[in-house]
This record gives sequence, structure tokens and C-alpha cells, in this order.
Amino acid sequence: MYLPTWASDLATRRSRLDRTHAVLLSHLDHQREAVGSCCAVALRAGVHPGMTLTHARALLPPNRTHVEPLDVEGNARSLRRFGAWMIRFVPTLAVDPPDGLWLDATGCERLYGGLDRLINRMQRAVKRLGIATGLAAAPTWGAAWAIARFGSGPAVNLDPNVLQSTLAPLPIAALRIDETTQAKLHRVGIERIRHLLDLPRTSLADRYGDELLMRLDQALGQAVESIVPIRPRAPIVAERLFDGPTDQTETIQLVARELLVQVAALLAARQCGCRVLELTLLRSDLDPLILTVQTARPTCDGRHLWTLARPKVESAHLGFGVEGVRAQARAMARLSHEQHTAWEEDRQATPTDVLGRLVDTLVARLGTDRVLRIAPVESHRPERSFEFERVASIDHKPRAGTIPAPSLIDADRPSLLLPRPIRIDATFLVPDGPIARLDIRRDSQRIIASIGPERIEGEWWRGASRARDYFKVQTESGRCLWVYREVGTGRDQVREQWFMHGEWA
Amino acid sequence: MGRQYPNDVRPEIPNNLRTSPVALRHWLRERIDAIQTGEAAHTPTIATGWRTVDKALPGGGLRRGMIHEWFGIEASTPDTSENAPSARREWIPPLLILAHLADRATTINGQAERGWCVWIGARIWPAPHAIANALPRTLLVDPSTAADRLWAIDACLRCPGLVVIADGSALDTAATRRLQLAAESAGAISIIARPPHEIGCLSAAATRWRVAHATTGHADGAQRWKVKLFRCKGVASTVTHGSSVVLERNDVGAVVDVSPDVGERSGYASIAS
Repeated sequence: MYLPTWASDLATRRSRLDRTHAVLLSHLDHQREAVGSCCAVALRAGVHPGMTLTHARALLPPNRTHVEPLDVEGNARSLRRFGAWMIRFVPTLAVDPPDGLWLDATGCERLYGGLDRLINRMQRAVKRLGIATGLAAAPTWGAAWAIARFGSGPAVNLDPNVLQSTLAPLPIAALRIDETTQAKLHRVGIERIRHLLDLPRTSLADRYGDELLMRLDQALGQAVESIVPIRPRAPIVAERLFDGPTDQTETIQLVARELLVQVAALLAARQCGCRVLELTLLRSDLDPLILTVQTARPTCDGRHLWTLARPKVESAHLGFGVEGVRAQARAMARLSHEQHTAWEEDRQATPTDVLGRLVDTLVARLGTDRVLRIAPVESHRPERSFEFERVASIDHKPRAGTIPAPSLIDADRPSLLLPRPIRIDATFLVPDGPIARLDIRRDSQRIIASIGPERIEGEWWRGASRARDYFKVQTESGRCLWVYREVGTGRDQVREQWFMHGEWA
Repeated sequence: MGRQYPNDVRPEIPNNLRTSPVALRHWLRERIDAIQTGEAAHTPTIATGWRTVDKALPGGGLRRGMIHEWFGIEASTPDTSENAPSARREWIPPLLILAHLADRATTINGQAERGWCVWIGARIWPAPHAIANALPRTLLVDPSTAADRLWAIDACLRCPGLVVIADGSALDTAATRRLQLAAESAGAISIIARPPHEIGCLSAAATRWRVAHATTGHADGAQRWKVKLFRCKGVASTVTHGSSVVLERNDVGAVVDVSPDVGERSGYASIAS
């Protein structure tokens, strides 16, 4: 199975764009932004991978073009997941990064009433996902690869005898050979596989190396090629059904707790920890109630999972009774291996484990919006130079670049920043002289020192925002305040506008 | 002479202490601490880096496993007579001092890695610029109610190796006792910022500090504070009374001690007095 626009199809799905949008995926190629991959819409408009991003943008309507960086590793991961999804059609398959899957359909066609129907079904299902495909079935992996990419239509050809004639008109790129060999062959006028087949094998091996012959033999079925199938692991689930619906909270809690311990044991056997756990209450007359528990660090501790799930189970709406409970680990991560010691009491939880548990407990009681971290943002405006973000995992650094962030340390900034600047009044003894007095919320402060101005420009690309002239002023009582004047006010009958933004507390 | 101690655990008083009542009192205090808390009396301390402060503190710094209260600065509130209700008085937590202490406590953790720091209560969250270097290991927690806040501080204090900095407004004596017990259980250090008008409340804190702005009379734009230790467990109140330390925020943003009796800083002696 060939996925010609896999990367851009993924981007389209992720950003929920409609089919008329052009998607460009950029990557850095020799210090310039080039198109790494693009969608069918862009291809029709004349864009091809390898051209510069600016050139490609010029060819496409600006308001219907979506550009994002190409994430090769992420796409490979998605391909694996897509492969696991395709197991519904064939049991044995392998990924062929960056844009293909090998499907071993041997024996499966009988279930679907023929290979044609199987291929049709797969094509329809994948199309519904919004992913373009080229499918081909052939007796060898190499031939299937070649026909899927360079053949016409979903070829179904299982007769080994006609394989050679099917492959003959295809270009030599269909043989999975590297570009230098291709270029060498092109230089002597060998364009199609047909030309290769006419030449004596010994001279081919001498001139172009063993790989060419190996690929040729693999395509024709004269050499063995094997694939490494992906094996999705069974989900970690523990379930218990009751004889009849029950609305006894104690029973449900007891069962839920037992299931969590079972799940924890399954996780421990795999040396995995749970990141997201779903506890489903199957209610008799209502939809199943899904309670989700997230942890900041992977854990396989049943008791900890239960402390997190317990408040949710206690406050759950049971309806007319619960018929069963199911616990499933939705997201998992590897646990670092733990050395067993001869004396159990020597074993102590590591500080990060304890911290992970603490974060989970805080989030469970206070809510996700109330346990935060700070991520630096590139901005000159002090109030925009950082963002609060939820603590998803304590193992990762906060999103975005370098720590310490230059936007946070490259200037003298106050330790207390007001969420929004407050209006103040400033008094001068002489026009454009030093500030003499500040009136902050009806509180008048005499100013004994002021340092400034430090001009911070507005970010015009975010809409109208004025530049500010910041002053660090010291009041008579010893407070150090950070005040600013909006540049442009104070002229043409507009009153000068002053704000207080922070304090060195 | 007197009663017999079982197994002869009666302490031998060193000879050199018999002549000096102050030294003897210190020595006895340490003995009592050791008996009361077992090994905990020898918990490590965190040097504040301010020489005068460290000299005044027993053990040369803030003790781990204890809570330390810092009273903030009253923001001048005009017209308190009419509009401003006394229950919601404005105050400013001494954020730069707290950030300095957090930095000291996380770096001198005895480990190669720096420790984590939790700031509880949005009111005392510092601007990220003040803690820019510690951001990857900083958690900010904002409980919505005072009860949740107390619970959150308690939960964090039971987590070993953390530095907890919390908004301590409206904590009563029982609450401080509870936090003190929590801090003892895991050896965590807790720095609690409290509003200045609660200075009269009783508390189980090991040390209590009052922070005020210091004016210099010089218009040099430097930020100075007068910090006063007005209660310290194990130190008689007469020792702590009367002396206050002057701290200054220097050009590179660090908070340094500029008290007159600190040795090596010649240029500041005339300013800070």
C-alpha cells in the first residue's frame, strides 16, 4: 500500500482543513526553507517537493494555504499506528517508512470473496479517513511496491509468469534503488526495467553493484525478502460484570479498587506505567460513564491510581444501577527498571515518583487549571513573555526553547507583575522633567528617584498596540515601582496616559 | 545529691560552659531539642547567604523540617475609614526575598540536581522574570479556597525534598501547628508569606520575620528592605530584639546583605544605617 501524500494528509486531518486547502510541509534544506511534502491540491497548482517555500506560496492562494514544519518522526509514529489500525483487514503487515505499508493478504482474500473486493474495501475505508492510497497486489514485495507507486490503478496480478512483463515498462526508480545508481543508469540511457532485463547480469553487477541485482531479483521473485510485521500489544483491561444492576456504592468502589489493582499488576508485568486510565461504569439505563484519570508520571501503583479515581467514583451518577465496571490503561509509558533488593525496607520511592504523586493528588483535588507551570514565550512585552501551562508531565521541560529564556532574563524586570496595568496619574514640576508625584488609586506618592525611559515597542503584528516608555521610580516610602507612559499620548489635546505595571517587591 | 537518673544518662556539663550562662543556655537548649525531636535537631540548615542573618540563627541558617514566616509589607491604603474594609487590606509579599530563599534552598539540596519548588497561592506567585532560572523545576498552585490552600500546603510539605513557598494569610494557630507537624514528618522546608496585619497571631513557626521598606534618603533608585527577626525558636527574645538587617537588591538582581557590620563592602557603610 502506497500513501502518496501521507504527511500532508495527516496535517489536513490534524488541523481539520477541508479538501480545497493546500497543505505545505516545510523543512530546512541547505539553510533555506523548502517544501518537504505537499498535498494533491498543491501538486495540481504546480508545487513540487524541493522547491523553496516562498516560491510555493506564490503559486497558491494565500488564504487557503496551510504551512507547517515537516515532522518526520511523528509521521513515522502515525504510520505505525495506522498499520495497527489496518490489522482489521489483514493479520500480518509491516511499515515501510516514510509512506508505505506491506500487507500480507495470503489467505485473507477468501474471507472477503476475492482479492479485488478486499482491495476495494480497504481503499474505501482508508479514503474515508481522508488518506490517499495506491494499492497493488503482487506475488513479491518488490513488485507490489513498484506497481503501487508506478503502475496504473490498483493492479491485481498474481500470476508469477506475467510478472516480468508487468514490471518491464516501469521506470527503474520502481526497483527501490538509490538515486546515484538511478542517475548512473539514466546516463547510459537505461530508463525502464525492460532495458535492464535485456542486459547480461554479470556486467550489471560489475558496473552498478550487487544491490541493483538484488532488488531486481526481489521484484521478480528470484530472491527472498522478508518483512518485520508489527505486533500490536493487547490492551490492558480488567473487567467485572455483576449479576444484576447494583446501586450500592460500597460494592462498586470495592470492585473498582480491585480492578485497578489488577490493571496495576498487568502493567507491572510489562514494566509499563499508566499515564491515562479509564474507569468505565456500565450503567443499566444510561450511557456508560467513563471516568478518566491522568497521572503526571507513569505509575503502576494500584493504590495511587485508586486515590486518584476514588473521588470520581464517589461522585459518579449511578443512574438506575451499574451492571459492570471496566478499567483500562489508555496511555502507557515505560517504567525505568527497578533493582530488587534483599531487604524490602531499603527500597524507597525516588523523589520524582513522590513528586509525580503529589502533582496527581493536587490536580485531582484542585483541578487541572490550578496546578501550573510557566513556559517562556519570545516577546518583548513583559506581560506576553511567558504563558501558564498545565502540568501534563513532570518529566518534560516546559514547552518552548531554551531555559533560561532570553525574553525573561535579558532585562531588569520587577518581581511582581500586575495582571493588567492600572491607570495612575503623574505630576511633573517642569514639562518633560522628572516625575514628581504619582497618584495610585487615590494614594499620592512622592517620587524621589526615577530611572528611564526604557522604550518597549508595541507588537504591531498583533493589532494596534502602542509603544510604552517604562520608568523605574522609587517612592518616598522606599517602594520601587515600574510605571509607563503610552507613547503618542500627551499631544494634540490627548491627555497623557500613565500606568503602573509592576513592583520590585 | 538529688535524684538518681536511670542508667546514668544524666548529662555531663562540660567544664568550659560552667562559667558562661549564655553558652550554657545554648548548650541546654540543644540538648532539649535533641531529646524532644530525636535526631531531627541535627537537621541540616539552609544558609540564607546573608551574613548577619546567618549569624543570628542557631545552626547558621533556616532549619529544614520547620516553617518560617515572613510578614509582608503593608501597601499604603488611603481612606481606610470609609471604603476599604479592614478584612481585605492590601499587602505585598516580599517576593524577591522569597525567591532568593527558594533559590538557596533548592541549590543546597545536597544533590547534583536542583530541587523542585512549589509556590502555593496566586497572590504570592512571582513574576517569571524573578525566577527565570528555576522555571523548569517550579510548580505554581492556586487553590481557590483557604481550606484548599491549607490542604495543598500540607500535602506538599509531606513530599520530601520540596521547597514550599505559600501564601499564609488567614492561617490560625492550629493550622500553623498542623503545617509544622507536616514539615517535620518529611523534613521539608516551608517559607510562608503572611500579611503584616496578622503579625499578632500566634504561630508554631520556627522563625518569624518582619519585612519593611528601608529608605536611604539618597535618590539612587536602589531597593532596600529592613528585615527583622522577631521570633526564633531557641533564641531568647532579648537577643533578637532591636537588631534588624538591611538587605539590598543589587545591580544584577541578587538580594545581598548590606548591614553595617558586614565586613567586605566598604562603599555601602554610610548609606545603610
